[in-house]
Amino acid sequence: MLPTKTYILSRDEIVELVRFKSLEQGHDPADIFRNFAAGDWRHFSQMLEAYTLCAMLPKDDPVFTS
Amino acid sequence: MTPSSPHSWSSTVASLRKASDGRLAGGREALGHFERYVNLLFRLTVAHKDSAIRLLRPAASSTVWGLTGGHDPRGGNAIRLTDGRYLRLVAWLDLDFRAGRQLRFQALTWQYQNAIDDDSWVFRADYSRAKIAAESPPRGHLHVDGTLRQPGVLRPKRPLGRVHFPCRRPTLEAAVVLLADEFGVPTNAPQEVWRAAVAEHEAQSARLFDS
Repeated sequence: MLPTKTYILSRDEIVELVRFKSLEQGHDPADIFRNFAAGDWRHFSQMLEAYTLCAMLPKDDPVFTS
Repeated sequence: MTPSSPHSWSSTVASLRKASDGRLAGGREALGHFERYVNLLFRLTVAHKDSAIRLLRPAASSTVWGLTGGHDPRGGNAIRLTDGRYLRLVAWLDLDFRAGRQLRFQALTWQYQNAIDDDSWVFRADYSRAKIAAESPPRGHLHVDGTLRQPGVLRPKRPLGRVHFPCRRPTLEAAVVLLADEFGVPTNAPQEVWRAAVAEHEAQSARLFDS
């Protein structure tokens, strides 16, 4: 077996990780949250992990509207 | 019996079969079985012994999971391959309640790259169950980074790497076969072992995509 790690993330950890991934790829985190909420998954492959993390949040999470 | 003899892989093949059945059984347990399936599939085939995968899931009640290459959530998503190159892998998984809580890919990307960073990519498959953008490409499609020998074929400002070649269901088994057969990536198990395992499970993996 390959080494596997499972990370169980709180809401704040998810938001922080999306921010980290966005900035790492040169995107404004607010744009990534907004685009995800709008179903506009730009930079799909590059940002897919961030979008997956967004999907773990409730649709009405304030981070999508702030 | 040598370490690479077919017999030495029999328990891995049996575990792969069990994990494959489990991922298709539905429910929350399917997610764990899927992680094990991916792990064993790559272990059997093109993963370097130092490679790793990780799962991300929310503490709150949710059926969304992420599976990626790499160990550290703040690190890259690449799985190190036996040829020294990398396969960047990100899968967004969910349970489909309309289909009896069956496991489904909501989105998936896998990309063969020369180095651990993104810029050195060779080809990439993307899949999204939902529409990606206004000018929506096929749900499953392949990109190849390169240049065409024939001039004037591509649209202006549209390099070959941005062309979406349709491929309906870019399974992980297809990725493994492509890497091994077309790019010469060495496999861990003997050919007769991994080929039989991939053939056995690939058709079932199509069920994880759109039906």
